[in-house]
Amino acid sequence: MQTLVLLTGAAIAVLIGSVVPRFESPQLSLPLQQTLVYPGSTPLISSIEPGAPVELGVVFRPTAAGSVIGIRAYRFGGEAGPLVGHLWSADGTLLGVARFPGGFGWQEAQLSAPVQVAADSLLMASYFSPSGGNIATGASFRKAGVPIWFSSVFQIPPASKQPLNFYHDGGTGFPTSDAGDRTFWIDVVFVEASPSDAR
Amino acid sequence: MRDDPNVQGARRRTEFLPTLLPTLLPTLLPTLLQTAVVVTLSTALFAEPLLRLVEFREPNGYLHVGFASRIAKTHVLYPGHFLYHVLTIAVHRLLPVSWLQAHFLVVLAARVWSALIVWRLVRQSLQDRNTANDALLAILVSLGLLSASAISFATWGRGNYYLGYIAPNLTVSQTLVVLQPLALLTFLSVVRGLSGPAPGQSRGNLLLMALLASASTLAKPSYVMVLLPALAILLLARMPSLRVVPRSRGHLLSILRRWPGDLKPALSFGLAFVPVLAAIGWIYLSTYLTVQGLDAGQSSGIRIAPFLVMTFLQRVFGPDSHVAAWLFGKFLLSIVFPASVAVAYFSRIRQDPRFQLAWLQFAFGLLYMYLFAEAPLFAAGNFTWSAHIALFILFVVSALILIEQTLAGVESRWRGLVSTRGAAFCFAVLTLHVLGGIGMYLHPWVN
Repeated sequence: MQTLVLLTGAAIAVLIGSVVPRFESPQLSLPLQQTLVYPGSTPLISSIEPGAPVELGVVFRPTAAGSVIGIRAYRFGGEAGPLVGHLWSADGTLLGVARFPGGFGWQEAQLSAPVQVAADSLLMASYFSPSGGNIATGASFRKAGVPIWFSSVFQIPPASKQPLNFYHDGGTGFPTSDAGDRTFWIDVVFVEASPSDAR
Repeated sequence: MRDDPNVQGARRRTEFLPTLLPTLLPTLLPTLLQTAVVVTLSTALFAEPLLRLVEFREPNGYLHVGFASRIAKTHVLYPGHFLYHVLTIAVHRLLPVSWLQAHFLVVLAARVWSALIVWRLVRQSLQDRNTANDALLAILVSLGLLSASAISFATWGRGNYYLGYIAPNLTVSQTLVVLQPLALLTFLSVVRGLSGPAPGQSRGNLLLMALLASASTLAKPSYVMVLLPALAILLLARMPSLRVVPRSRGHLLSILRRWPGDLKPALSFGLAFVPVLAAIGWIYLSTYLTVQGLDAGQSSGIRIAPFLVMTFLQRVFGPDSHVAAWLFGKFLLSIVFPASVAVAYFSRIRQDPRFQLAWLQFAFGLLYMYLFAEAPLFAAGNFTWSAHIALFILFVVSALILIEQTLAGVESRWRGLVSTRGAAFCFAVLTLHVLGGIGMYLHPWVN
């Protein structure tokens, strides 16, 4: 009986001391963040070759008004230099900058300030890679079968045939060269305006 | 003057209660106290890993919370197995909580419910004694079963806790967590149907079975996918006319004439599963022919692709040339406990419908896990969940059988645990599985 009482006492202490404060923490009260790419998706390639400095970008369109709060990029370890993420409007106006930490896998960098965007605005997320190493797979996320229904941000407006992936050789800058069928593993973190989930 | 019958009834009730309470309290109070202890302990134990998954924004979990918020906004029921999502929407609307908090409350409640069901079963196997020793043993075994996983120590150094293994208590999939108590209750109702003198004949149980099986399908179809073929085989094997070898043409004809009668129990069960088949059809349509299919922009569906998924999952950790060896080793390390119980007590338990159904289900789970894949999203490993949930039920059944075979009627429960070498080995192995599960819970965001 004593063991049961002790165990229960310990459990109550854990609930009061850890579970309740973490449940009520701001982290669990945040509105839901949405991404372009299916969470957990990884490119089916195992390494990349370094090359010349390049800026890589993907075009996307939110279907609801909201804020872009960060940029994500898939990285393998070993690329030289830090990545710098950029958010652009369709006419090449720089809207925000994000500096990536090191590491590999999906890396997320917060924009220096959230960028408010209107529904249906055409935007581009990009990152500058000083070593030129980039991860590109042979088909767009959509063609590769990545469901995008769950999100209010789309890499491509449904049924559109317009180019999705662009690059800019030689240094940092607004990517304008069409990358054709290649898909760059770049993503954004988006929060809908006036979401019903913020309490 | 005669009293009003209602007044007489009320008086009888008020007189009855004081006499009933002293009789019931000694049995009710310990049970209520133990229930409160199980709820408190399981809440504290399972809240920790579930909170960490939310705090680390585990991708699969986050995705399904997103699905719930999309359903609330668009009223389009996608994915087809929407029970978790609808529950999360209900909690989000009824309580002043965010989506992530609503998600946490739903999965935690499902885990606690599972703990209560398993605890009740363990208590029954211990013959419902209310001694302090039995109370502690029942609670420890129940929470152990809810924590058990593969004996994965060898791969902890690689950050590998469940991928490639079969894990009875995965919490990375909230739809699987919500399925767990419903699958267990469905299994129990089916076993009850199989155990009676006229299998499947009780209308009440058939209705309960239909409700539970439908709910579990809408939570995640992974369990009924293994239950249905396993049950069909068991029912066929029990048909008396199939057990007789015809001696002549006339004998064969007489056997065939008995078929309609023999098939009656199977048809009764079949009737209970009509809503389940409808739910499976809806989920298939929703998953492969509508939203996901359109998003994929290409044909999607189910493929027979032996070892494609498990090889892909294993390659995250191991050199390509050793994939088969790793997978085989991981398979064995996942089932040591139920296999030990089966070997140790086979002759005594082989006719037990719980044992038969649980192993048959698991066999179908293995078939799905190793041979089937979704296209094009095979890497999601959605055919592996059936093996995980079937193994959870197999663990529970094996533990109940082990308790009944070793501890029933034994005065000193703790001595009973080591009464024979077989019992000691089985309990020791279960402890290793629990340690494997604790390792996984301490690192819930890794693979």
